Amino acid sequence: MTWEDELRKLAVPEPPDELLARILASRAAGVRVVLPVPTRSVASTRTVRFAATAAILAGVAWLGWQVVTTRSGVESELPPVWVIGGMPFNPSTAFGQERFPPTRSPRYPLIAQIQPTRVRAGRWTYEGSTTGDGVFTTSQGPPRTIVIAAGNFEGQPIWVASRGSPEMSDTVLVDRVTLRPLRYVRPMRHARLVQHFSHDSIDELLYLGPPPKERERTLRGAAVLPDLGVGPMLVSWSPHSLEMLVQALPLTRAWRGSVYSTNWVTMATRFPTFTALDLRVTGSERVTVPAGTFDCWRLEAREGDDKSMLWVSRDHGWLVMTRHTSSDGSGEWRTEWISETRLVAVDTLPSPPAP
Amino acid sequence: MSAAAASEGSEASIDGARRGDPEALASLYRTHGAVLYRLAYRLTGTRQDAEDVVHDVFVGLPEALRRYEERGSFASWLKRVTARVALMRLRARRRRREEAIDETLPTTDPPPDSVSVAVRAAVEALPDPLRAVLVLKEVEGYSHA
Repeated sequence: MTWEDELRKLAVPEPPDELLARILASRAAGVRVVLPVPTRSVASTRTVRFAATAAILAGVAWLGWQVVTTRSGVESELPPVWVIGGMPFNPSTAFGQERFPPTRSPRYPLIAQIQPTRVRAGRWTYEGSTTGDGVFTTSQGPPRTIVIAAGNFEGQPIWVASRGSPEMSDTVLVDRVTLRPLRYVRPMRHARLVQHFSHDSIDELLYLGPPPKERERTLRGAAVLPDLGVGPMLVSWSPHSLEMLVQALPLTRAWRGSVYSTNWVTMATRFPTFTALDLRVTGSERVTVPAGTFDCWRLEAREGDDKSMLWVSRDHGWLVMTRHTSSDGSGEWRTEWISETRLVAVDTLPSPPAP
Repeated sequence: MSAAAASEGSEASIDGARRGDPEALASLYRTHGAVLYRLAYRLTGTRQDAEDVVHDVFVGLPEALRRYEERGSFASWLKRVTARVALMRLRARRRRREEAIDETLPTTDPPPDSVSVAVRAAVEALPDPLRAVLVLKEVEGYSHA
């Protein structure tokens, strides 16, 4: 037997049983990965090689110039070659290829002053698109509808916010006064995520039920909330609380504030349980989307090193448009992915009674 | 759909996965997941990285299938994609200077013989790029092209 045969017969482990469930849960949660797909045809190989060589030479020359002129002596990292195509309003953790670092401290004071009575019930429909490397633009599937309705939970007034689409639906119950989440439920095809919030902690159950039945399992996790129960809080994988929060923010030209966002406790090895979302008004703009033209505050939203831009209507605080630019975090090197979300319809229901 | 693709992935599964159907994606995983995991493990050398590679491949597969040209073997196309993802992960790992921790994990594998130990040690001692070349050439049968 040759060493090549020995090499081929080296024992390798089998994939873990729950890997398929994780994959399906990630898909259901809206995670998307853009893969480096080989698509070159044989006939065009020579042309592509020529073009690639020219591009590489040009790129090397440019990079060399950049290094010489701006980054001499600074260790830099190559940008990631592919990135995750973002879903509308999903947290930046959903875009990450690598494990995220532990929770970072907020840049600004935690948001303490909100105007919860500005929040209105309604239904908002958004559509999204992803542009990669300036080469192609793809739709992010069918439009997504967010519904916010008034309700009661254990005797206290709440907002019930839900999202429905052919791919997924989820619901979050939010305290109408503090805008803190109380319950979050995300049913998936073979899994179900349930998060219970108290004033200072979160308790999470993740039911994994991939066929066959003997592979069913339940993961449980709990964590202490990092903000001591003060001010509003977001649920990262749910867009509704952000949709609600911006309606209640007392935005002015110099406004800034941070808020904690909760991810999956049971996925703490892959995502941090909490991330700090840093919000800052960077200007005002008139924005035209399919739903109309709005005078907006332009809001910078940073989550770690990832940065998104939100356009929030100045009159009602509606989220009109978002844009996320993925970055590898080193500042100089950026990936060129941009996701845009647009308001395509507004169907406002009657205002709820004052809480 | 080519006959090769149809035989390896089933036309219905590939089309279903392309539309984002979880059952179809699960079917493709059950057909190809273990092979791709072994490839990813041989390239990255750790269970965690292999899991992440296969996870990312199948999470991104529905969208990637829209760019799949359906020429040749579907399984080979899937392995090429997996190898690329694994090699990118290796590059990222080198930048982060991560250390593998698999040696500390308990294993249920049978004790290997001395030749296997020597071959494994030699492979693991190779720098990542050379190990990738070795695995792709000698184990997966890739050509130099």
